[in-house]
Amino acid sequence: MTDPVLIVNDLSVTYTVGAGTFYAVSDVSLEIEPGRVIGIVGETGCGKSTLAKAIPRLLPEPPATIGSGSIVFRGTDLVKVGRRQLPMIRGTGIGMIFQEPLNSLNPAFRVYDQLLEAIQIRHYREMGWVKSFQGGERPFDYSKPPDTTTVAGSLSKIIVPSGAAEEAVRDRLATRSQFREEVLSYLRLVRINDPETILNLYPHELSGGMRQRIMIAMALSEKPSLLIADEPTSALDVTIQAQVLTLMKELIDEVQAAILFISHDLGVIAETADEIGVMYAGRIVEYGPVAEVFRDPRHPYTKALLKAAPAHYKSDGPLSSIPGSVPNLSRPPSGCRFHPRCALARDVCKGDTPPLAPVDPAAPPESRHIHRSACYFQSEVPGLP
Amino acid sequence: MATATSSAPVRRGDHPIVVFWRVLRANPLSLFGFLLVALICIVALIVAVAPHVLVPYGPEQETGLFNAPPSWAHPFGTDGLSFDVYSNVMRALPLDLGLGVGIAGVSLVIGGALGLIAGFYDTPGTLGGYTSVSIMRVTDVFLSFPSLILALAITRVLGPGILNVAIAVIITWWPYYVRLVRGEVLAVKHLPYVTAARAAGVTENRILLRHVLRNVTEPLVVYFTLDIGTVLVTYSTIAYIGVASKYPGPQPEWGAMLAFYQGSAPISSYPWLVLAPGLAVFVTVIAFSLLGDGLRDILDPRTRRAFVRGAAPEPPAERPTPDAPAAEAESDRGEVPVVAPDPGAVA
Amino acid sequence: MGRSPGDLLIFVLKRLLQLIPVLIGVIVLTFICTHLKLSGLCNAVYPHASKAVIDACNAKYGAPLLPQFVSYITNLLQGNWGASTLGQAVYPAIAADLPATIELVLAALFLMIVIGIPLGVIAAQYGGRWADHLVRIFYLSGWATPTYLGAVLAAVFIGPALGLPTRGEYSTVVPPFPQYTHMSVVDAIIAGNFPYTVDAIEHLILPASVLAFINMGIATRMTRASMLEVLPLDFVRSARMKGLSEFWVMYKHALRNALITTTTVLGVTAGGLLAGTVVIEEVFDWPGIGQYAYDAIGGGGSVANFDGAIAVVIVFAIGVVVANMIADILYGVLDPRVDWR
Repeated sequence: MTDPVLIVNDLSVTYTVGAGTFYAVSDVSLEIEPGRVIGIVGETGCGKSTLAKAIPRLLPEPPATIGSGSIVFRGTDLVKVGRRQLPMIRGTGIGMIFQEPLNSLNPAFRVYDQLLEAIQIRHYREMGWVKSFQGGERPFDYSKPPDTTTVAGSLSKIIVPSGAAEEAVRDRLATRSQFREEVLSYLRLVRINDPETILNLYPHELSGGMRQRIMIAMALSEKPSLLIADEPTSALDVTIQAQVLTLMKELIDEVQAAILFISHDLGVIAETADEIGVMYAGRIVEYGPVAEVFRDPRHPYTKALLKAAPAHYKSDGPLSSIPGSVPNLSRPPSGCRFHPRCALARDVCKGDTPPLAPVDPAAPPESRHIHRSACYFQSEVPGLP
Repeated sequence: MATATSSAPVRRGDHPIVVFWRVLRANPLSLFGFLLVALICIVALIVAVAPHVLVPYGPEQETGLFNAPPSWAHPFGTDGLSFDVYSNVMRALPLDLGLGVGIAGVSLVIGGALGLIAGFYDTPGTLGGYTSVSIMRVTDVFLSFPSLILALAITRVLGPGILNVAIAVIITWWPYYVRLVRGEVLAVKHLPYVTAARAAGVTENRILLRHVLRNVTEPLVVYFTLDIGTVLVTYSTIAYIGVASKYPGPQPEWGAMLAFYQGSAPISSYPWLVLAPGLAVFVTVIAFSLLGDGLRDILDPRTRRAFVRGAAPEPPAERPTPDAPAAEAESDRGEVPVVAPDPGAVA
Repeated sequence: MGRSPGDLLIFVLKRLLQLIPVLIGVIVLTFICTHLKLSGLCNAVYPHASKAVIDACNAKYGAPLLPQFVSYITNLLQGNWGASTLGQAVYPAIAADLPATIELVLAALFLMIVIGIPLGVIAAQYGGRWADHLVRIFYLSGWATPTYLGAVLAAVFIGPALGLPTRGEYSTVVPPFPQYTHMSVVDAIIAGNFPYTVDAIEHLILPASVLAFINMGIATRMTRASMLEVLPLDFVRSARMKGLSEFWVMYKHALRNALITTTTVLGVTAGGLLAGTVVIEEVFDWPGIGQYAYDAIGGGGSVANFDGAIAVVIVFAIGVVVANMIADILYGVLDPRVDWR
């Protein structure tokens, strides 16, 4: 297997608000390889969005503090990177699609200018004009011809159908028309039918779904090696949501980037991700390949989440909900944070935090990709009906 | 708009004095301004009631020393007429401060009342609607004039004198309050809880008094605080130009003093003569400005966020609330107090 | 969405049409305010004049209001704006003085934009921290400085200390070239006289700086407030995520949006700037309409010039109205969401 693009080790993020401290993310570990999609799912307030923003160091510090842990992106620990170096990592290194397409585009600039800016950032970094991540090293090695025998290689061809600006990279600066051609090609990539017209519009003249497509195009046009999608469809109407999700799914197959997909919607994660991490009160409580986790959840919280999902509505009668309430993260419960709401909880759950242990006792405990659950009594979790 | 949420220092329902104190504690500049304003007001009161406590010399009392530099006996030196500059500056304080508060206060009452009417009874086609439109037309025209210029021209007609200048300034000053109050009333009028009160059968007059007036008060107080300084500067400028009060005379005034000293002796040789009244204006105005500017930062939702960030960092966007398990994190917005707009060009 | 060049023309024409009722209002109001107190007016205006002057004055202002107003308007429209007590016609004097004032105000506005707006950005960027406090002390100091104090201190202490001239437009009373525009720097440039251009700019620095410093607060505060409003918005975050440096995030993406509101406020500052010229031009001996106003109103014990005072009030009001109109048009141009039709 290829080396992971991103390794998150025991990451903890806290917010200091007045006198209180909120433990938004606690001891989260992740690994993402190129081409893999990892889904993070959880209720509002479980820290998944904080996690997504902490990786590219987008959280305002203060009030946020990265308390401990490391975020190793392609060999560099982002926690230790200085404020001035951060922009070099963003865009071409880590791209991000946000939840709020309505406000994520700058209302004062045309679609064209905003896409052009992203492409130019990448282009200048490739040219070595602007110092980029890791002392001018190119985010991707474009000097080699794409290897069409691998999935990744063939995909890089699909990404830029015209390849106009990319051609120019090898010897000289791209011309205006080459930039324009590339902007158009990215609009086509996100299935925009009439890119020539869209180019000259301002964001307020576009629908929410359209804006989100442009946001996706903008993020992809910088060819990030890690793409973080923070609830990209949650703010859209249901029908538009389905369209954008379909697009995302198609693009995921085309992009070679590692993808971290954040959502509160189990269905969305089930459709898009390879692996899933379930977050509760700032911790990952269960992790594993999507199919396994959905078929056989080994954590009482995951079980409850799956039961609460509308898919089980008919068979279960009334929609079930989880008793109790989400804990206040300024005073998280001791031990397992789910114990106050857990039917299986015993005294040991109140004492120590259960480790994220492999479900299969025979599996190597250090592997990050196998099905694991942070429950002392994971074997007692009843199966789904 | 994504404003800061429940941990923000201003919360509806808190007693205004509690809010006020919380605001001051969090903003060192405002606290400094507040202490300075308090000190100035106390000193002005003492000078007005019992001048001998703080003021050693009378307004036109000769000391026998001509153009003496500052010393312990004469903190701001003496002038070419051998008057004690410190005494004259102190004697001017109650007048200048009183004019600032008085002119701004009368403008507030006139402009505020007209603004309430213009904002509240604005249904087109009714008597109130026509009144509202006429008030705003007249206000707009008044707002086209630089206040100082119009006040000077009116003073020219009314003739010099403190009262005439005060009237002239008030004539040019009230429109700013009309605009402010009307804007606030229009903003408040359609808020859900006012609509709810109306739906519950509360009479219009009662809504005006109970709900709208209360919400207009906050920005009005802030604006008024800032305005005292602006009025003082305007009045003293008119005095400086030489059409208000005269100096030397029984009642000194800072602008007139400065104009007199500027013309009477070379400033570079006797800088204290100009600096004493000039800095008196500066310190008084900046005290009110620091206080008002800080207060406005808190009450204006646009700038409140920065204040919140400085004083007490914002809560995480998705902080869970114990009593609302899966509720949207943004649901606790809507407690933002009303806006305090910019005073615009009143200088 | 109408935002073609033709629509822009309609947009501008509409604003120009809206100007007319305001201007009529300005003239009517000036008339009312200056004719408020008719009895004893002439004695008040000309306290030391001879009986003949008082009688002439009474004949002019003692008549019933309506005919007075009619003749006032007709004269105004014909360019007959009366004359000063010393017999100097008002209109030509004002027409000659106005450009110098416009030059001074534009120079101050320029300083307010290049200094005041970046300061506002810095204050917002470091909101609540020491940089913010310093900026606030700076602009509140300007706000709290009476124009006369700032002008006098600059003329007496700062000017000599920096070696900058403190009086007039040029070092010589009359420059050795024709003054076509009556704007000192522009005239020197037209004449191609480089030393005089430098000289004119040097003379402009102090009065323009004082005027800008005193009015800086509004520009800086508004920029700060709009930036604070814009910075938490999502598009600023997306700009950061593109990999743009903080400089470009601030000065391209955030400021471009913050400027939309700041522009309207810059229009409002016109009143403050124009009012400031009255004292500043007097102190720095700048031959503009502010100095004319100072004299006309009787500042410093000069002979009052009633017709001149009225004219000055109207001209200043027109200045404010036009400035607001320009700001309004700029707002429409800067904000792509404004429909021009």
